[in-house]
Amino acid sequence: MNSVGEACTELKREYDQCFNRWFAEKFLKGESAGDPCGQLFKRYQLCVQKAIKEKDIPIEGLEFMGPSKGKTE
Amino acid sequence: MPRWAERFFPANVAHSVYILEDSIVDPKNRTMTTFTWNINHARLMVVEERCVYQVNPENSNWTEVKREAWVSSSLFGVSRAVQEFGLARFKSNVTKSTKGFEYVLARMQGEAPSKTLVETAKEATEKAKETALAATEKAKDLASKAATKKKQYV
Repeated sequence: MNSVGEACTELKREYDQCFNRWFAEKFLKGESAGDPCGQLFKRYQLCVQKAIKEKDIPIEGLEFMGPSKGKTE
Repeated sequence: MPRWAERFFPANVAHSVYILEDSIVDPKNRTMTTFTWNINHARLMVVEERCVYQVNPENSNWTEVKREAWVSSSLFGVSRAVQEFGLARFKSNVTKSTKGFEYVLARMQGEAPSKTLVETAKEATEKAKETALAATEKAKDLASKAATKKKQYV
């Protein structure tokens, strides 16, 4: 899947690849120490934050797990 | 955004709809929950979807998914029509997304969709229908709530 910012897709691909490898080969085998993808994530995140600003995507005031609370049943 | 909805908005409005997804992986309860909703065009319509993936209680080799959706609109005068449109769209799209789901699973398992998967998909569709009905009720509820709110402003 492409990134929301066209310029970030390559960075996303690199980060995803790193994360998936770490998740499958380390984390799921109980090796949770170390953060091999942190640098890649930072670069990708900065790119996305810039794209969000440029595209005027309304991210102010968003709440975790959705806008309306109290969805029971 | 549907064409008919464009006339409610200025001509220069962005046509893209941005979607946000939050997810929670709970290793203790062995569930994964995703919550997805649109973050722009929210005045026209907000569709929220929650999927809960969990181990089937009768067969621990199966994963079941419970999909729920809420459609709401605060567009003055036509909120009810917009909600019904959104709900109908959701219902027809659920079939497609279930097919996509099945396709990905079959690829991951390196085989054509097994009987189990087809059955699961059918079950999911049935569940989705039920949920969609529940969503209608919820939409009505939200619509009346929205109406109540408006009254307070007047």
